[in-house]
Amino acid sequence: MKTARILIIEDEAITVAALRRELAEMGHEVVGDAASAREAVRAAEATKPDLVLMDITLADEYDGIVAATAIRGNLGLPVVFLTAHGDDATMERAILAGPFGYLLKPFTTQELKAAIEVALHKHGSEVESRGGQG
Amino acid sequence: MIDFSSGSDVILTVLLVFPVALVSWSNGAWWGLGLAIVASVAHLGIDLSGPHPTPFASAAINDGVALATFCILSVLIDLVVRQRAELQVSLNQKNLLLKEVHHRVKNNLQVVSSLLSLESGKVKNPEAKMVFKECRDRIHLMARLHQRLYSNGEFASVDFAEHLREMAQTLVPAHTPAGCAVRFKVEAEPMIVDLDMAITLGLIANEILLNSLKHAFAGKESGNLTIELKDGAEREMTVFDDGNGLPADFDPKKRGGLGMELIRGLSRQVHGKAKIENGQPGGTRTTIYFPNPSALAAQETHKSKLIPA
Repeated sequence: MKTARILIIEDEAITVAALRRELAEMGHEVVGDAASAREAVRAAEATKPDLVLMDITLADEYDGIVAATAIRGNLGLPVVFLTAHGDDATMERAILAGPFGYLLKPFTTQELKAAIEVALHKHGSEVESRGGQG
Repeated sequence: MIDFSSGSDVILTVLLVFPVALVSWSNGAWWGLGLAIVASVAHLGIDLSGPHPTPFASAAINDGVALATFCILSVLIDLVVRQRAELQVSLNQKNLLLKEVHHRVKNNLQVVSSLLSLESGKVKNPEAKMVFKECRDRIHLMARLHQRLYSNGEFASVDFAEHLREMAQTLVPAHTPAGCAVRFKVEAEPMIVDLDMAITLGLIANEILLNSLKHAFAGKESGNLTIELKDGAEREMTVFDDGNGLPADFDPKKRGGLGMELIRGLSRQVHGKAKIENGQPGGTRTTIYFPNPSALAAQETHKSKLIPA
């Protein structure tokens, strides 16, 4: 399995702690975490992770979809949404941000692992097809 | 030709439209205005099409009565329209609130699951780790039901057959013993149940499946697992495998492990009973019999009709 540098955007501290532990067990490196959309964009610019795990409901007035749109647009980084929002309206909005995955909470470790692998693979293929510019 | 001397049709029609329009406008009900215009045009049409035997005084009374009727109608229509709008707003608010509650429930279940994940990180014993994993699986199972309700927009009832299929697809591959290929099939009839019943039945199915996957195929290279759900006056959920069967010393009356205790306790919770037996020709067969609430209600109605007053 490919290991990656991952940024966690989540406003629930316990979930962040559990994610850190599970990602470390999978062999990934957590490069940082943030609880708001503004911090998310700043952290992504500072750490340039391989993947961003993004909650939708965040601590400031902007949500994860806004942050993901900015991160995808400015840095071209892959984003996987981790959210309890399973309604069509939120999903339709989220899709416009061009995510590499959408995982509904609560998720199992297996589901998280699969979502990360698929996202990394998909992004790798995308970068290759663009001629190695990621 | 308009006969102003006998009925003053145009003036009275205008007099009819104007107050109704005013009342309608002040109440925000454009229905009333529309109705007044249509009625006035019809009134004029009738008046213009024939002779006017009605004297002026009678015509004025008639038009006055018509005016009052349309005013009342306008107000009534306005009330109905307003009430419908208020009901719609209230319904939308209720739906939003329910969505928010479901969202909160799933978020909280994620936090509980995360706590269990953190605690399981502290233990080294594989059996203890497995206990944590099973607890997390139960939480995910409940969350899936909430998700199903939330995405259906129904909020109150769910097709348990669909949930059972999804559950088997997740649980069986995740808990199949290493080195064993387990084929499974789900033959489930549609069964609409409320959230409480769905959660309880889901937990029962979860325990039966885990029991089977843990014990039935130990030392085997392959096996088959079948899950059935039958609707009717008495409902049935059956899980059977072609595995090792029940241990020789198995006594269904004894308490057994936590899984068995949960199966029995949860079956009682749905006013049902659990039957655990060796299958034919081999393996284990667990059946949960539980009542159909609508059939029960029909029986109660029938009984009450038989009792003389």
